[in-house]
Amino acid sequence: MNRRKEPCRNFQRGSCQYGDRCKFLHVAPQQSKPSTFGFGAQSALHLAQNTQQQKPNPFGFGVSGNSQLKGASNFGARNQSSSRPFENKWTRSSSIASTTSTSPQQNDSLPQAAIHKCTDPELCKRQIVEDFKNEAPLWKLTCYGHCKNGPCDIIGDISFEELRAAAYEDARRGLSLQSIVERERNLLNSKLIEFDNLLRNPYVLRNPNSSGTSLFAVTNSNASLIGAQTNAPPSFSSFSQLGVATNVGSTIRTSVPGTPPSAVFNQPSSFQSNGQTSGGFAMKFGTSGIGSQLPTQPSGSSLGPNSSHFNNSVRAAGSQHFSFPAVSPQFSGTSNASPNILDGPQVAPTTAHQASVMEKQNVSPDDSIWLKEEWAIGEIPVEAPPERFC
Amino acid sequence: MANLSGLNTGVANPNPNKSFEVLPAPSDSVSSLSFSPKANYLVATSWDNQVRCWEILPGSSQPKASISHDFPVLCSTWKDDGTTVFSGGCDKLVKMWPLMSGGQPTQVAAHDAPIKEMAWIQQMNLLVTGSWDKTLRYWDTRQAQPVHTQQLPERCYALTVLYPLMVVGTADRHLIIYNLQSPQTEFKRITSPLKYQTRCLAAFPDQQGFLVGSIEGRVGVHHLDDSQQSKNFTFKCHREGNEIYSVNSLNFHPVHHTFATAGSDGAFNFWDKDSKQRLKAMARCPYPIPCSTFNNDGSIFAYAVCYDWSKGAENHNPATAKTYIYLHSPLESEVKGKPRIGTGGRK
Repeated sequence: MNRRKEPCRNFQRGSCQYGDRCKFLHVAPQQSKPSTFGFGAQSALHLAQNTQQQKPNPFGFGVSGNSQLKGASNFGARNQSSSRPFENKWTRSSSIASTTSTSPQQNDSLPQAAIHKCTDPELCKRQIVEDFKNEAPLWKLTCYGHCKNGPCDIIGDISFEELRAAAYEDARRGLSLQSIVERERNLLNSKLIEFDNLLRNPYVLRNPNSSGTSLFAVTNSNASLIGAQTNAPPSFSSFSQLGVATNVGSTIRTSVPGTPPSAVFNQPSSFQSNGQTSGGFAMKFGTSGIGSQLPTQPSGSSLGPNSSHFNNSVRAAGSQHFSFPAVSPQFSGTSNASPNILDGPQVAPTTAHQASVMEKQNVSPDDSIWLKEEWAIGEIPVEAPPERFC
Repeated sequence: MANLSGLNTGVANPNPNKSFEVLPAPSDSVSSLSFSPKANYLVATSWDNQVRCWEILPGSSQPKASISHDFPVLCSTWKDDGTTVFSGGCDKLVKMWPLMSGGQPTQVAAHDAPIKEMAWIQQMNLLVTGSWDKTLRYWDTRQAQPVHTQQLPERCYALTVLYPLMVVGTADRHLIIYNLQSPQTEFKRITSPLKYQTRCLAAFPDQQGFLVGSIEGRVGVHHLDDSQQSKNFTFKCHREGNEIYSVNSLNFHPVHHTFATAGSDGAFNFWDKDSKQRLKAMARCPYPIPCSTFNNDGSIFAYAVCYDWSKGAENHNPATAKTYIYLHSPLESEVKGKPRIGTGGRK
């Protein structure tokens, strides 16, 4: 593979486009010995570096911890190519291709120890737009980081199994399928709001390090969200529409922000029949005796309150830009499961923390945040604690 | 195949690959599959709370035994001697089932939240379990308390163990690498090279690195050693048009060291990471494949075809949902590594 014995000049600079195919030697600038096992002395050194530097900042790991790691791996100031975003030409992704044209100028401006400070916010924003357009997965309840190996921009993961376990648990407690579907839809909508916010304001909200910007971020997000209400991202009434509608929605948003997405809003209604047919069956999973008598217009009514509470939730999201768990009681599986669960005192849209909270059956969902010993920035509840904690 | 809302007429062939079907199938989705390391016994755990075992003989499968939990079972693993099966899930505990000797299951582990992943570490004689309570716990099956509890930054979503390498994938894209010779220290903690939720992991057979799969139809190949970072790459898979499906399972072939991916699009593929090629793309099944595994010599690839919740509760119709477990006998051309396609000279 290496036809010449010269080290590759581009690789030294971290930008060889041939990768494995390159006919020059890809040797790190500091000539480190590769340890075959990966756990040899060299790596032990990194281990020492890592553990020393990681300890002081357990919560801010996603940002500064990353820099420690990059620092450690840059111990010999080598191999910068994998730690720099937008330069890893070895990905076979076409979405990176759009950034390669701009990356040469990016080379020098990116910090070596890459806490991704977004030295080129335009590029990052473009990356995010690109990702949401071309790389939007069908599963929406996910974290997201625009930068490979970089910290998450959106946190609050929910996995398939967590959602399913919560649904089975609700079914066991006697909730109807319709209310479960509603709950899932709420999760979905709040997550979509988060993604939409990121699209509008990358790197204004998402840096948990500087508390100074968080105040800023709150007002910013309020401003953007007020705008968002007139140009609301589509609120989906089902998972299955997402693959089509989301892409449509995001292109609408990025191209003509002022256009009311009426076309997108029409889509959910055309899919209402899906919700209806699936709602008509008695649920087998987990329980016995669930009434299969579901209201005949579940989807219809859900769209109404959905949009009005969407506005509520949007406002609430403004005050807690991370949309963290001041969990509304509806998710604890209270009785009287009706499609209008949304009418409950919904404080904020809920995210993955809530999913994890659902598993802790001893602690009621409201309380988990108060039981935490330490709050990460963004998690700090806005309301006062309930009386039982005072 | 995006609409999974159970058309009753003209249902697509659930077995387009003409694989052998393991019967009787579980009554609800399968959450994990594992083969005994010593013989062709297959264990499947399911959302119907059961753990079932079949003996796989040439051309047939015999159901052997089953146990039940009180809640859906999410993961299972065999002990290295092929006598005992561990299973755990939403009931937050692990049952040890000495099924070869016909014994009854006993509880050996517990967590504060559902147990998502587990593995038996032969060299340490310990069971390691990862849970949504953000801990990893090591268990000596003779004691009620864990030998060690390791804190994770987030809920455990994926786990791969190949002594002494262990990689744990958690929510929010954390990947934590452990050297099991000193399990109390994190060897390294990185953020996933993929941009979305981590779904599955697989350690390279030579322990030089691992594969990570995410919900965005992408697999990352990551080497541990910093000097090998240039060999890292990611590739796209399990995508159809604009639809991007999750990669649910990554499994290395025990002999050829190629690997298989299985996704929510209902397809499974065989890949060779060294030559960076796809060896074989299998036909898509009408339902997602949530889990898959090779047997001990790689002659059987077992995969489940059933709904994985990738489209939420509303696409789950318990009355018409089907679950299948299939066995595929890979041809050598499908799983044997190929030399690189010649790249010729530079341009």
